[in-house]
Amino acid sequence: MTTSEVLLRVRDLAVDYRVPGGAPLRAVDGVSFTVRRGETLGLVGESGCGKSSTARAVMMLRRPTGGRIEFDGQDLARLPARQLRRLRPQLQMIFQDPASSLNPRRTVAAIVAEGLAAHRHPRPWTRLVDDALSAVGLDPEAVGHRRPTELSGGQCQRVALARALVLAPALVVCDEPVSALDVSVQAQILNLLEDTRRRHRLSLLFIAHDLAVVKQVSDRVGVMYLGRICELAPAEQLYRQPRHPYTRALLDAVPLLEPVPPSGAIAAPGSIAVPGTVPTPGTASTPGEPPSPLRPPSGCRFRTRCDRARDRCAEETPPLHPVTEDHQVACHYPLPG
Amino acid sequence: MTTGRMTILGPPSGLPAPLLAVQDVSTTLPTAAGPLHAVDRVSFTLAAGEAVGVVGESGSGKSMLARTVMGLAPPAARTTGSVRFAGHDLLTASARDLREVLGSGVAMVFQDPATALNPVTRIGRQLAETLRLRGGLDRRAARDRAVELLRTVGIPDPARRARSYPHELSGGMRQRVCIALAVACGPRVLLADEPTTALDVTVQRQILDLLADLRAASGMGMLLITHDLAVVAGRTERLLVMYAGQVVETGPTTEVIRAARHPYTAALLASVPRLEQPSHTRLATVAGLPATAVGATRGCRFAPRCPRARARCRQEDPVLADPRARHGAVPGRDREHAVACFHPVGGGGGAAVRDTAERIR
Repeated sequence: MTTSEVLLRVRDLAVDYRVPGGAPLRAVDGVSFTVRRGETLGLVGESGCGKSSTARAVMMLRRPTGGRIEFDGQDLARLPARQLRRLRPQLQMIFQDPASSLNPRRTVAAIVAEGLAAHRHPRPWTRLVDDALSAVGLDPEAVGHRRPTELSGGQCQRVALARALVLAPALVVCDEPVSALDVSVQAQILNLLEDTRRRHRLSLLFIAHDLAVVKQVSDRVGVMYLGRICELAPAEQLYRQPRHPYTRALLDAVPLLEPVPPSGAIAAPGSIAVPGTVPTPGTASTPGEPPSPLRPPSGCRFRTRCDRARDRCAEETPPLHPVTEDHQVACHYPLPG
Repeated sequence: MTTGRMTILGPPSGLPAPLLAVQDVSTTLPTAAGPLHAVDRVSFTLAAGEAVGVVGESGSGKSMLARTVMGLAPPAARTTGSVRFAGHDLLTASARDLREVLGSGVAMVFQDPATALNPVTRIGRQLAETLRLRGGLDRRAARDRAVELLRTVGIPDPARRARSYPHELSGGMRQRVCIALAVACGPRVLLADEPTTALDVTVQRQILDLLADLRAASGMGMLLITHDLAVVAGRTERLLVMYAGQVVETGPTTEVIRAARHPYTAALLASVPRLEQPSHTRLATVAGLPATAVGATRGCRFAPRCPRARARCRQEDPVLADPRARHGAVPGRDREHAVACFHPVGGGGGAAVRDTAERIR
């Protein structure tokens, strides 16, 4: 991969939060990944895995404790404020809750123009704002003068995207952009993100907890657990043949619209079936819940819930290493490929 | 796949005596814009040991339906119809009768386990209180039973955990406590309103497994309310799909999901991203937003968003009918696959349904 293909390179990112009367909580611990130009990288994981902290660090909304965030070759974490500010239009973000991420007192047109004002873009802005609103499927005439409270959640998310696009960004970080939306609206916004990425040749860092949503939009996907990436691979490969036991566990836990009965497990005639226990193919559910990030387990952090764990998993932290080209796993005993 | 199971454990194909019979229930809320038909003429039954799913988007009335059944509709709401349970009509029962039924007969699990628990009382005590008031146990027996219940719902080290406050537990553990509270007095019907929406996917799986186990062990009926079609897919025998307060399609869960007949159900299914689809698959979308019915409405409520809608859909109300039925009789009303649509998708059954609907009228 040549440098010019890579837009964002995150290396050994660490993010700490202060905890009253204790050691800091390390929410992100040694996370490394790249986002290529025009690519969507998905980050998926359960609550507390550090995916949102990673997003906020990439945006420099929270200064990382350690590591490098190289955007277009420049380390954002070490850039003087003035230069960082000059780069900002290229880095945009949309958030989970569209209603609370928009100023309720301003009109839609003013909200979209905010970034232009902040970056002293020469006036007039009307044309740019109208174009951005049209690009996200909103009629500038109809919604430009309205306020966020008059719009639905899906429309607010469109406004948030327009606000990002008006600055012609190279990277848009999307933190759970559809999880607050109804299914039918979610599909509209996911399609819009895909169209927008293609048309504007954007790179997306797409963060969500829903595995199917992440697969839908992503070229490559990273799976996070307790502050670390445990597997990173092209989307198709990761979902078809996960190598990390945690990825397998996550995929097995997703309820399917058309549950597949376990192969060869056709109930014998006369056997008493238990109602409501249509099983996910041949799997037991993963026991327990993620441990507290304040006291993460030694070695591999998933080992306390992993049925493949052995002594070595408690002693040595498995590094994220390639098992095939482009497929990385952090596991001492990965699942067979 | 589940058919074998359903023939054994689903409602017997004769005339089952339902535990819970909801008949033509409507809940209307006053709003500034006029009466909001939150629940509109909904009927269904629930048999012992049966799980029925209710699926809909926000504003579809699925939660209000559960609240109405529990007698928990807001005071300003006007409810009509009947909810029959154990010889009572829960909609007209006196407060005293209702108190007797709720908890020990019909219990509910809510979406947000954090707000459903008392934050300043230890969880063991919350459980014991319920058991003493409703189960008539003495202090010591109630305490022991509380610990036992916590063990049943999969809380590790229950004797110690009983002394925890809700905030000391994770979301999944809190939901387990809520489930323990709901099943404490051995209800015959459990209403679970989005019980796993606030939870992570691995924990969701555990909670759904737990509900299934409890149902299998006690034979209680369960109404599982969710926005997520996949959650009801493997977990319920029958399904109600709601839109703008009305049931637009109902039938055996597998059948509704495999061969949806209502354009809304079909659209909903098509718009869900699926794990088995390749990345960047374009999702089918429904134009517009989920609707609510305010004031006097005419015609099918999905018509404004429906690509199949024609003039008639905007004039007349479609009635739930078996899409395959050739005769006027509406069998069982909710046992069979039924759809409220003049132009259902698939199967070329449009004419038959039109006939049926007309004969009903």
